[in-house]
Amino acid sequence: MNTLFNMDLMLYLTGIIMLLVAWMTWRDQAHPKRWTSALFWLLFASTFLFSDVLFWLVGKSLTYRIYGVIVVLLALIAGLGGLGSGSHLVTAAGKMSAGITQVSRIGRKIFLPALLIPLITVFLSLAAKDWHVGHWFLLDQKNLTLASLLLACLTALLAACWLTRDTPLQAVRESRRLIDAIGWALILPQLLAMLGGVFVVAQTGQAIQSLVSLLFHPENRLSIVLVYCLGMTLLTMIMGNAFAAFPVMTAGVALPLLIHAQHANPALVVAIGMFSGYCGTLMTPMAANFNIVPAALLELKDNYQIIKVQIPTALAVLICNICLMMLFAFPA
Amino acid sequence: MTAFLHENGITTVEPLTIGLWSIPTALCALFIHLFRLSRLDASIAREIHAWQSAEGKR
Repeated sequence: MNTLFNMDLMLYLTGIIMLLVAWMTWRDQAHPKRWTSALFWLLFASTFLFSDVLFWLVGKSLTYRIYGVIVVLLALIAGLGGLGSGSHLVTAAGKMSAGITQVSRIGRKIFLPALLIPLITVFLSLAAKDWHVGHWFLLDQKNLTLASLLLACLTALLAACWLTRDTPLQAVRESRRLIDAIGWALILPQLLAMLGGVFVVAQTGQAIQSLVSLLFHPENRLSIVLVYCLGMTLLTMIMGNAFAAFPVMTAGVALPLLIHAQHANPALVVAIGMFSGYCGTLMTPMAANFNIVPAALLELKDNYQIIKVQIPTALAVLICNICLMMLFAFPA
Repeated sequence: MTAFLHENGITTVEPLTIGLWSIPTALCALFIHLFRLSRLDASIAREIHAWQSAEGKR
């Protein structure tokens, strides 16, 4: 059975948006770094668009190598300061007043498209699993939530175009303005997800387990709980993503030393372990999409202001997590 | 998370159970945040008071 809205479509649409951004950047004569910036977004677009074709043309291992080279090139361009912001940021102030008159015409309905996204996603993921036309399922059966999100975003885009009497191309132009404000941090979540994969393949979990059993007595509950919770926090701070740290620390520490050896409640241990990871998310610039991008979008003077404000909350919640695990995880 | 536990031989855990054990941390985070916000409100109120009394003297 085939599907209409699936992961391939999502990747291709993302790639097309990035390709248009690269094209607009290259066409922008006033752009201070138009060649390298356009190349950066073109290379990023190619990771979404051409992986299937390359896979089919040159095979698996060569494709992986080509993308490895592309990732290094992306890092070099960004690292050497080749990524600049377009001329639209300078002219934005002039356009802003026109935008404000338009917003006052539309009124509160301006929030409707944004609200449609969560509403339609939840509705579709609960109700539309079996919807199909002939042999075509509406939504990807394996990635139901993501397919629902894709369809919801497309609906919201149409609603926004209808509301503002504007074109989808204008949406891409505005995307480019946001993407320029975010800069290279935009590609960080993907790179960090890859890093998490590298940690798992490198068997970091086993290494941590042998290190922990070397340093601490496995019967000492407090030390193992401390290692698991603080380890989740620290590894998340390094990787920028609690979901990347979770398999490493849970397979290394929580499963053998807490759940199997001490018969701790697995649901409680993994839940609180993940929340300890989130405490790390609050304190690290590596979680750029949460901590650095908003600082850029809000045009704060200090890039790390958001992290500084979050640190006391993160540490207090972390202490609560450790206490909760000590109190409730173990059978009486 | 449940998929990870299933892969490692623990099949009795449902997503809802993990969600249930999220409530204590959620409550802690709520109270910590409420406490910090009330302190922020108090410091803003003090600043306004100090500014108003400085304006009054002028």
